[in-house]
Amino acid sequence: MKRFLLLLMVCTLTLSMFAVSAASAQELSGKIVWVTNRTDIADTLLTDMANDFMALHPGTTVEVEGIKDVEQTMLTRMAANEMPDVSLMITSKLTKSDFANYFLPLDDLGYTADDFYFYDYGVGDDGKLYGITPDMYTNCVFYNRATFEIAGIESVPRTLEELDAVCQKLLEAGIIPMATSFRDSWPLRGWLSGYYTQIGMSGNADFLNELVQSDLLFDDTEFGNLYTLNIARDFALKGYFEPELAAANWDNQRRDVLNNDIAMFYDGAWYGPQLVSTSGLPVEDCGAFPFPGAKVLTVSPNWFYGVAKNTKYPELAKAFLQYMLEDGRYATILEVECTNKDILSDLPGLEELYSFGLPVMEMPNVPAELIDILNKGLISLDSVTQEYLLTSDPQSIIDKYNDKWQQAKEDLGL
Amino acid sequence: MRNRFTSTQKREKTVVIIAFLAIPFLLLALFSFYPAAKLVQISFTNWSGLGAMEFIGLKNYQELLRNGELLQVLFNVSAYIVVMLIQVFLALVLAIILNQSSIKGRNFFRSWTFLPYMLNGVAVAFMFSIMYDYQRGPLNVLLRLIGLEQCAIQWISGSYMTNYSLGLIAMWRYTGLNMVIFLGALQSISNMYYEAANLDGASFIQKVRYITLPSIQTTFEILLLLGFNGALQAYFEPFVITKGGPGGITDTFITKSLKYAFDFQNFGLASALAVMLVLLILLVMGVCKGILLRKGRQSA
Repeated sequence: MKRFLLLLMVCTLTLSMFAVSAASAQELSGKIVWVTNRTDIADTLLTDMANDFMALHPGTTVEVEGIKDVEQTMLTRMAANEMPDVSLMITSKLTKSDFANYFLPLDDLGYTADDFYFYDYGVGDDGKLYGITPDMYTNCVFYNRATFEIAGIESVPRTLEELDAVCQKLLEAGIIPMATSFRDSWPLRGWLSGYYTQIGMSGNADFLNELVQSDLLFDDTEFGNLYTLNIARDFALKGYFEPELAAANWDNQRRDVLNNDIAMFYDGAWYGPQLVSTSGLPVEDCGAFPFPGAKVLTVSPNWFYGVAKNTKYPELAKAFLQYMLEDGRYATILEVECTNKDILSDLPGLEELYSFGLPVMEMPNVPAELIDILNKGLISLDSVTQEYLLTSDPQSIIDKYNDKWQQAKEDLGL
Repeated sequence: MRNRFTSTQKREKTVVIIAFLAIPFLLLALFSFYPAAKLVQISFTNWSGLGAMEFIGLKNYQELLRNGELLQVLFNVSAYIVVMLIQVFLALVLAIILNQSSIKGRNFFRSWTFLPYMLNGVAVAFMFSIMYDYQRGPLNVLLRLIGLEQCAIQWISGSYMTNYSLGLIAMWRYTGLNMVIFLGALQSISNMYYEAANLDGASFIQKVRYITLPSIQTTFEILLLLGFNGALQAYFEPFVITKGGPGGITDTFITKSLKYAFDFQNFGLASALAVMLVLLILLVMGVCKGILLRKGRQSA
């Protein structure tokens, strides 16, 4: 009798769970717009993902919208209060106190810092969670193994001196050692504006806070901004970058890497898998190693997602966001590293990268004061990198931007 | 009775005029006057694009005059103005040549010269970003093929000369349009002047100098004015090809304004730069109009 009653109770509970979830699924309805920066797969893979969600939740519609100039477009839409339901969150431009003005809290989804990397980035001033990034990338140097074979290089460099020697060998083999896509400016971020060289080489998680306190943007701090910039300039003067630097661009870089004309690119572990999946680079040619001399492997977040405050269907939008994050679904489709802490991404190059045994460090969030100083001083670090690589008078560039930095701090009272 | 009908008709006429003008005026007010007024308002604030605006007076204008970037932009845009002057001159020469009835296939040449104007500006800029590639651009490839590798041109060199390369794109696009406008003006010149000149034994150059050029002077000045306007507002070419870089060396008013707004979150400063562009255009138009009016009075 007792066993019968126990069995009856279990069946009742189980059936009621199904009933609740079925009821919940049936409760979801409406139409939402989901915006993505991946315009190349918005109409294909991402639409398929949306269709799968809609199949699970009949009566719902998820419209995928690809946008190119993410920051410009999203900031304009936020200002006009016309945000898509599942929106990209520009954490580099928004302060934590802004989150609540534009996004809905996501605490009811039950996520914690134990579930996702960069959890704290999306937490507002009020302690509530407003955004999560589904994907991230480990900062590293991508290299095309085929070019290393052509140049007779048998092992990847582990120090800057070894990197210099590798670049020399590549040059002698007629291969451009390192890509920059100089004209597009953002691919130069590894050399200064991304801060991952400075933090990776020093292992100092407090670098950005110390930079805010510093009187100079460029000084002789070991592994500071000037240190990394000088590495880049040294490479440029030795001819390790594209020969016509000012004309080098992203479209040509892809082609040159595939043709074994360029060997390496310094940014993140997303690059190799993207070449493999979209451009046909052989998987066996996709390699990655930490920036030589780095003490830690830094990991940077990609775009954050949140639910717009003005959405008409908040439950549907949150359910879709949950669907994106579940099991690293969105990151898997993009073939990038997911931020789910319980999932180890298996992507070309990652195994080699992690074989170096370096500890992994989440890149710290850029302090609001640092963003304010750079904005006030009209300092674009990618632009500074471009100027510094091309100039015949590097000290003048350093002095110019140090002056701007100091003036900006003075104007802001910092 | 007659007066009542006349005043009724007048009233009806007024109502019809207002009815027809209302919608266009409303659209103009909504999409031109209101944004312009808002632009001026924002130029006196420190608005970051989000949140509230705080009035800061003329600080944005002072910042523009202080930081030297306005001068850099003016210097960059001057390259477009030089290319524009060459463009207008070239269009005039082409129009004079293609106005000759003895030229075979002149309609074909007119059409092909005008065709670039019909193409989308962004598409043209993308096309030229490939054409200007130092390694793979068609002109440099051709020069290398015929053994003139040392003559290969670095179109996008990261120096000030890149502005001229970008200006050439605009010249390629707009020469045809200018030519067509000149052609219209040329065709309005009465043939009897040329016949009289032929009877007097005037050469081709003399006819151009003493009949053609004076007759199209007004058209020439208007095209110069439009050309100045277009050069000051250069945007597609630097935005698509160089993004105004490196280091702002190819920034124009509009690309710099976009940077202020979206890279540095300073919509106030961006608006102030846009207002300065408007003032500069008004100044150029005022000067040109003054010259035209004075010449009109002199000829009267």
